[in-house]
Amino acid sequence: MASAGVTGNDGIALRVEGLSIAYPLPRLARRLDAVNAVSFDVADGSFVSLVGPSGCGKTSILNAVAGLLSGFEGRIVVHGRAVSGPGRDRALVFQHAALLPWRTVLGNVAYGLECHRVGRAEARRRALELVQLVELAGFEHHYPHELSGGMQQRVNLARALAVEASLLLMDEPFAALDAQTREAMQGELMRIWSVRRTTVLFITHQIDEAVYLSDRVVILSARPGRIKAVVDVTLPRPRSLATKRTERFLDVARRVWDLIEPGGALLEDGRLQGQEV
Amino acid sequence: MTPGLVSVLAGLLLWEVAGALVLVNRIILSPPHEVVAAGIELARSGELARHVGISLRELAVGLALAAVAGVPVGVLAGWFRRVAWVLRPLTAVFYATPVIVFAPLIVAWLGIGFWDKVLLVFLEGFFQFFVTVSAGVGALNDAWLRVATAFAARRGFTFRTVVLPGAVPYIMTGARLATGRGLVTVVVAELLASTAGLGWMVAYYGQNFKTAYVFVALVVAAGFGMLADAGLRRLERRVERWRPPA
Repeated sequence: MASAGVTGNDGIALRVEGLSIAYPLPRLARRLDAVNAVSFDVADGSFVSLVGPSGCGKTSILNAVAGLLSGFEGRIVVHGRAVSGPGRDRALVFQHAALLPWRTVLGNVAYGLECHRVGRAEARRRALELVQLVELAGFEHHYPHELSGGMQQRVNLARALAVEASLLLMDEPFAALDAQTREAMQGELMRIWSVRRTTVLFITHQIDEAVYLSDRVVILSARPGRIKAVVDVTLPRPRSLATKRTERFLDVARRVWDLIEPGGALLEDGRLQGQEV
Repeated sequence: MTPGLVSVLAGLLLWEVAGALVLVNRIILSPPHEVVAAGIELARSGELARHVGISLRELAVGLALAAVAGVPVGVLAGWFRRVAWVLRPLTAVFYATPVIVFAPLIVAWLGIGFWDKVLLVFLEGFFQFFVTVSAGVGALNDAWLRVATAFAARRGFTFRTVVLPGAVPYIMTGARLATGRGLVTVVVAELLASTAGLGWMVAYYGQNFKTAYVFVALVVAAGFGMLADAGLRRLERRVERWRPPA
């Protein structure tokens, strides 16, 4: 992967400096402040999550990093280069799978490569590898409507991984899945990430998901989004789903909850409460 | 027997009985067996094939030209807002007007024959294609376009891989609408002014009180309309295998 050994950026894959995002509200003749002076770094090869309540602007931050948003204040630098639009150094995993319904699984996984002008045969070959990696072998020629939500998200993930971008941006990819599928996909993501260690910026509103997946959790406040705290997660890797039941994991999750809402952790998260008893 | 078949057979029987018992006047209503006999006679003499051939050629050429012009213009108007700004008001006028009212004018320009019918079918079909395709392309799922944008696709590639495939269902809908209305246009145009075709048969035999022959032309026109629609539906299912079954 290109994530390691890029020179001239001090081991920093992504640097966000003083990022402020405001949306015009023409009917009210004012602007809505979505994100306010957010700064953070993502080290090369690390997994960083942005967590915060709905409407805290975390998806806006991701879109800005992806180059899909114009008119923000501040600087976004990816591997030493300022972001001014979409680029091949970043790949986006969408919240809703956003698959092209007329393309098969294989065609969808190859789509990002084709966008990057990789030849058809080569795109197909690399897509086949990724289909195997996300364990969809046998479904290559299925259409998206024939897949479950979890399988669609695997295709979404494979499409982004296929282009081998140095920075993977994931926008709440498991938010629309049921609890069981979400757990399974988190485990899958950890397995895949251990194989293809690329730098990840992951957006979620789920604390336990962020803690489980990440090396570092950046906690945002409610709108306008500001950085409230940054927690380094030192749980050993590889992590399996069993990690989530360990005392150490629950400790870190509780600490994050306390930072978000001091004293309110046990009331907020039913499962955490259950584990306590 | 399916309920549909039962209802068709019951209708034919009712028609036969009404023709035989209630309405003796053959000018008003010919019973099915006379229509069948007339149909066999017209088919044997080759007259039916000649008229059907002429009507179908007018329809096919008109529809082909309508698709060739209407689909690209519809795609462009759906994709480029400026094109839509120019074309929408113009097409709105035409779309709201029954195209057949232009028949006398077109006959004055082109004379009575083949090309006046083709032009009428073309106009009818063009607006069907334009309206469905431009609306469809304009309403393409934003998420698909965002995927292409996020992967830094060039504009032409996005157009080829998102806009055109996304337009296919609307092109198919346009084709079905254009075919149905094109058939009506051909027959009505022939009724108004022609020297041959299914509509001409209706007008000619009607004026000569040969009602059974009129029915032959009507049945053939209706049958063709149903066949064409069924064929297009099949094609639609084939090219849209990727769509979830409704």
